[in-house]
Amino acid sequence: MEVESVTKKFIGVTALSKVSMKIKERGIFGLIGPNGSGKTTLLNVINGFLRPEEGQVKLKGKNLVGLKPHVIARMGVGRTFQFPRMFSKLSVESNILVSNPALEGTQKLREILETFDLSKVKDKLASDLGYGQRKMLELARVLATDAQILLLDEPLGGLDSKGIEKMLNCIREINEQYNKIIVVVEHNLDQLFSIADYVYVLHGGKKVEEGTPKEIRSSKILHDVYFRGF
Amino acid sequence: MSVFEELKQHIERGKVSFSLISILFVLFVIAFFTGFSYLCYTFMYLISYLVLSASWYLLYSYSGQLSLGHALPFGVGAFSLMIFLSRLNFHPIIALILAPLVAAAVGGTVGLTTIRLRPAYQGIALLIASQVAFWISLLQVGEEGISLGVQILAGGHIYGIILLISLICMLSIFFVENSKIGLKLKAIKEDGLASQSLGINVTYYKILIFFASSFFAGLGGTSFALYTSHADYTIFSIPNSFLPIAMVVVGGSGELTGCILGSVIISILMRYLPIKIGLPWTYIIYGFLVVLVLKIYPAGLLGAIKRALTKKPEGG
Repeated sequence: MEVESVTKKFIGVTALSKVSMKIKERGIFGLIGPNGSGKTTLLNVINGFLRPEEGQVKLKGKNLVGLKPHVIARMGVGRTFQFPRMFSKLSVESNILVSNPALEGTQKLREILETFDLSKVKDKLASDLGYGQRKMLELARVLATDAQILLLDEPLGGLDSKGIEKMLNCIREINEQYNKIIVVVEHNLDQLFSIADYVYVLHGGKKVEEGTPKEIRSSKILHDVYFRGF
Repeated sequence: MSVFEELKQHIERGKVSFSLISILFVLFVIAFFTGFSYLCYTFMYLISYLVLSASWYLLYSYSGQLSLGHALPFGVGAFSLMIFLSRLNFHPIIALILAPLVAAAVGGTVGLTTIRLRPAYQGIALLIASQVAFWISLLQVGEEGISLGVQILAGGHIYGIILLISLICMLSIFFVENSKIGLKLKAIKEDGLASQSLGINVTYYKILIFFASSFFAGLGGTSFALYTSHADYTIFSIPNSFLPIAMVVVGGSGELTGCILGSVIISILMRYLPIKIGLPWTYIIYGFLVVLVLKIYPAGLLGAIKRALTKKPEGG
């Protein structure tokens, strides 16, 4: 997937300015930057919730700009949200089945529930789950869609150390066992660097740096972006 | 999976709704065999409004769309049947099939224009649409409306047809409730944005459910016109739009069982109280009942019953 020179404005305020990035066919990609840098806006543009003023988002050569979110999802781009959006009156299992009703009673469903440690609570209402379990369920739900690219918006946000560890393991497993390409928006840099293969740094709606976690960690720009406000 | 296994699964999932539908059906059949009496007329009234409230329940509980003008497809169904029978001289069976389809086309098309509105605004838009139909029908056919000069079907046949209509409607909604489509609709109601991100075409399902709901409301109207042999402008009146809402609210909007329960209670109330205490007092009592239930039991009477049944004994 390629994001080419995307610009998005909100009533005159530029949220994204000519942002480009390339998501390769394998790996975990990090998207970092301080609050208001345009990370979530970029995810919203990729999955079709927002239409950019300029630029293209290409998936296997096809431009996704202008397509409806459900069409983009069916083309293989799934996502989670900053604050988990549950179908709270449905059971955990039903939440997953909404994504893919064909999974009912299958081994794959059991595997997904097992992967995210949700087997014991599968009959509980989503509203009865704790915050960490909700985050897990959201991830399980998007995995069930068979999307090839998963956009995860702050998956570690609000989790305790145990939850963070569990979530990181799950993200690694999704990437390795299920062969999914993952784009992670995250504030927790150390944790993100521990799983990411490549990282993009956004600031003020612009891409200011990109590279491997090692390169980004040693980059002067990262320090400037987070501590000096650039 | 065989049809019987699927049916069994559906029944297991919604035992109460299915049982209630069965009990009602048996009661209606018993009423028929006891003779075509006043009881049958009461049941026909009940069935018409039960079908109407079930159609509203389908729309609201399964897609979160609010119609404050469901009298529109109900009335269009009734008027269509009368026009097909009395003016176009259609065969009754053809008329019975076409009338709810016309209601679905009219109700669905009006609904289509409101699909992107927020529920409250959508409700108001549909209320206005039903009032437009009220005035158009008054201007076009006058206060006397359209009546069938002669009874085209025997009383027993009418009762049988209405019974069949209600059974088709309730079982269809019951199957939607327990199907994969039902699951997707529940998800759409809870969170449209999350549903879209999972590949669900929210607009398509909202339109689909609007047409289906209008079709069933049209079936209710068809039943109503069939048993009264008459349709006039009052069928589009506001009480006809609010009655199904009250029925669902009183019974409980979460399940088809609640809708059936509310329909039975309000229909009996609306059928017998006017005879005893007059129509104005009936509406006052009905209004108080709705407010009271909303205040004390926000989940409806079914919710209250469920709570009472699951309440653990103290100290246990």
